[in-house]
Amino acid sequence: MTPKLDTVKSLTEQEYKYGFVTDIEQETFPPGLNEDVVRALSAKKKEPEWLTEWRLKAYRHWLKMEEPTWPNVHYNPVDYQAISYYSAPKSQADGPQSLDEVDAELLETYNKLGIPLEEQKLLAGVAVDAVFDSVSVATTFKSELKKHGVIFSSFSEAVQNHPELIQKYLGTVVPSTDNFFAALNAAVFSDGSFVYIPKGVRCPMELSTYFRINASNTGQFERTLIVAEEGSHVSYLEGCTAPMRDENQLHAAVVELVALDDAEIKYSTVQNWYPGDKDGKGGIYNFVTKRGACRGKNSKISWTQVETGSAITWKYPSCILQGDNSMGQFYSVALTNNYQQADTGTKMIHLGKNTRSTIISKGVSAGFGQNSYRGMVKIMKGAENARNYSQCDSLLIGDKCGAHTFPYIDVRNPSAQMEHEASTSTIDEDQIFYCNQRGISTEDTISMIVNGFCKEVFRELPMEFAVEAQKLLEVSLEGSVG
Amino acid sequence: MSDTINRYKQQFKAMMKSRDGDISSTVELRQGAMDCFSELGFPTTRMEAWRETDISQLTKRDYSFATTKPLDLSHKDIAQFLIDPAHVSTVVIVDGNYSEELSSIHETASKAGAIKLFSEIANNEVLKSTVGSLAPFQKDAFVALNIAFMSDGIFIRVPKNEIIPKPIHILYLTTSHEKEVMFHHRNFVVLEEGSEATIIEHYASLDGSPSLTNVVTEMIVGKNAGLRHVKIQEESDRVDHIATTQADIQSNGNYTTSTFLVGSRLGRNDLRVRLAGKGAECSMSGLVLASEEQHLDNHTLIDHEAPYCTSRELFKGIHTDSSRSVFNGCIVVRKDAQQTNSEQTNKNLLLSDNAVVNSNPQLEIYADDVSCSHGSTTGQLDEDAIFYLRSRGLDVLTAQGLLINGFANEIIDSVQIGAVNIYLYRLLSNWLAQMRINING
Repeated sequence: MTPKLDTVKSLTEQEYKYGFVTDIEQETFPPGLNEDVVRALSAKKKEPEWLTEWRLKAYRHWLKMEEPTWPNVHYNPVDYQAISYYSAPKSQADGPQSLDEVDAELLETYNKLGIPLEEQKLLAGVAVDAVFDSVSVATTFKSELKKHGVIFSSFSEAVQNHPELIQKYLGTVVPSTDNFFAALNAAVFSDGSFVYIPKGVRCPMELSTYFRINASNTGQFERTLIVAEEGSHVSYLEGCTAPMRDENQLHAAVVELVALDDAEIKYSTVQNWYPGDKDGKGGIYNFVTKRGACRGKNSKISWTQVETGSAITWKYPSCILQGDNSMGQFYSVALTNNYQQADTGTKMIHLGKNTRSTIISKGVSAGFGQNSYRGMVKIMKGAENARNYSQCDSLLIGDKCGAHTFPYIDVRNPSAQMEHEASTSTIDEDQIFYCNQRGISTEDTISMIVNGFCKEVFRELPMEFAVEAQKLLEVSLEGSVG
Repeated sequence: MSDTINRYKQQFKAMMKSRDGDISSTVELRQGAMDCFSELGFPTTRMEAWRETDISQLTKRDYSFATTKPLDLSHKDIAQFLIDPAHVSTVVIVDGNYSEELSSIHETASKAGAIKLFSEIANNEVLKSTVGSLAPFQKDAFVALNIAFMSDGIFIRVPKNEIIPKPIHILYLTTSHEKEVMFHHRNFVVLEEGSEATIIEHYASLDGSPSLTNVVTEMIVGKNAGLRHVKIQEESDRVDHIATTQADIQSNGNYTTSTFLVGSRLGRNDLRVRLAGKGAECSMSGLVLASEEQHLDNHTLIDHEAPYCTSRELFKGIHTDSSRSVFNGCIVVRKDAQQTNSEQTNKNLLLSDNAVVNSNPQLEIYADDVSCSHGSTTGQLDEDAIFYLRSRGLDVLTAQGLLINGFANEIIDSVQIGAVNIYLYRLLSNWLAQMRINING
């Protein structure tokens, strides 16, 4: 695993003479980012030339951009030259060999969440048998999907097998030059998922990254592209309720959704990356660009997210409501405890006639957590009869945390109707007293109230996710009341 | 940009020369502010606070400080802008100069020695130590520009436990000028412990000469004191109006403010309130009437620094033609401001296809034992309501007028000063009549 500097040096020098040679075994690139790294990365993945150029264009643009400072979060600057931008999928031999080697605290959390033993192994990165249950399940699922013509594969595979689809849709929703982190992602994205639902197909099952065999090591610059053709329907689940073992601090993912006429995409996320320790040391920086385009008439995109992890979350899943009668939804629960910071929300851009959007955002802050909702609702001139309803509620637990709301509302059509409501409150001592009096412990009371507070969003989650999400909140809030 | 700044630098030099005598005591302050402005430059849309208000047209205009003597005006000339003199004290400022003939100060106010001009206390240390103490110019280009160029200002000090029953109406009038001129007005209001007063800040133009009005108002409301503040801005559509108001409220002080933004081509109103003492209260309301190509921007900030404070905020806007308005209201609740109770609402009415509304209500909360909420709505007149009225024999315009009146009157009614209310109802009905002509035409 040690970087072979000399080899890379000779490799980069070779470029000018013969172009790239990729047959040298190289596990990890040495830290640093320049055009050669982007080229090398692209070559490693045997990408077609247009994609290499696309990456380079993004990289060149990224150089000219500045890291955004407007989010209401504070963190130490990231040294982009200290990151290694390619790391071959790790062999399972590197991970812990059995659960005994895994951090005891992590295991305890798994148990609290009620995760089966075999799954625990997978999550903790323990080497597992090839006949492990979920793997075989995944294979069965794959054949089922194939029958319906649904493409569900890793991004790299899709580039090889369906280059025409990738070329047609990549970067059309989140352009490579969109923002600082999206540009960085476009230049160096490692892998991700690609989903294509053909015309008129209702995807027979909920797609989850969890079931994609090679999902475990997509790296820190993930790229997801979901295309739903006319009249199709898909529900996609991302992430996992269990804390993930991860060494990378910076995560800059991009998700693009395209919904054509009458298509519907439901995208659910449960994010629970390492939030740092009790003093706010360490933890993941999660800077994500997620955007969906309702291109067709009557199309619908729905985002549901439960954000409990990461030291810093910077994420605004958005909908561009282009097609007439299209619909966008955003349901979010963001929880910050200890020193976590979250600046999250959505953008709803209404372009088409009779477009509708709903925003329900619930923020819970405890400890020293800072939670901001930042959202934009833009109703453009052509959006006759557009309708928006936004509701952002915050719950504060403890006197050292903060909850902030920054909605931006821009209306350019008189027939539009838009409403925004926000409230901030705390858990009343009377409520706690009432429950205590009936024999419910303070901790259970808090979790009960928080769950009630988040119910509207949990209801949108697929069943099994919703159950886990509730437990997850309980675990994440542990120790927040003294 | 540097051309613009150089132009202002030259203007500054010329002004210092021509007004050598009467501003000697503030030379250093002005120079400091000018240096600061040169460094800051005008704000651009890349700055968060100015993201939705583009002032590049304003910066391109060649504004110079007014040198000509103001016109001789009679009561008749300004009658349309007067509020019934039997009920208010009137202070009239014409093109930045106090007009004694036009002003009439009521006995109760003059006896208390409440109203003074900056020039009357120019050498007083009080002035030096207070002006700029609430609204520092170091980070704000327009405040810096105001200090550098400020003309005479109004200094109102209400002594302890004194109550001034009649409102003080300060009328700033702009007359016609050959060149594009700029005025930098300044107001300073101090209410000492237990005192009460009502201040009406009023900006109007006598004709449509292009000009820039840049105002800074600082207010201190002492312990248990009560200040009512009304701001009416109805300048002509060739005026750029920039205003910064900073009010500090001490414990159990009460500050009620109502803003009426009707005039100007580009109007920007920054209203910041600091609830600095326990139990302070602030009630803020505003009405925006935007038509034609107007761009009107209200930026409000209520900063809850102390516990047990209450704030209420209600801003409404009515928009026609290609007008655009911005509402940016921020409520900050600091760490120690427990038991804060705060409500903020913004409601907008869009009456034409080309009007644009930006509404950004914001909450920043660092304390846990609080109850805060905000809401924002934008829409058009309720079709059912219009239908109901029409089914009872009213024509469309009358029905619309009734509904618009009802929408706007909520703000005017909250002023609760008879004479001022009458003036404001008239202002609204004139505006509506004008709008109706536009719709018919």
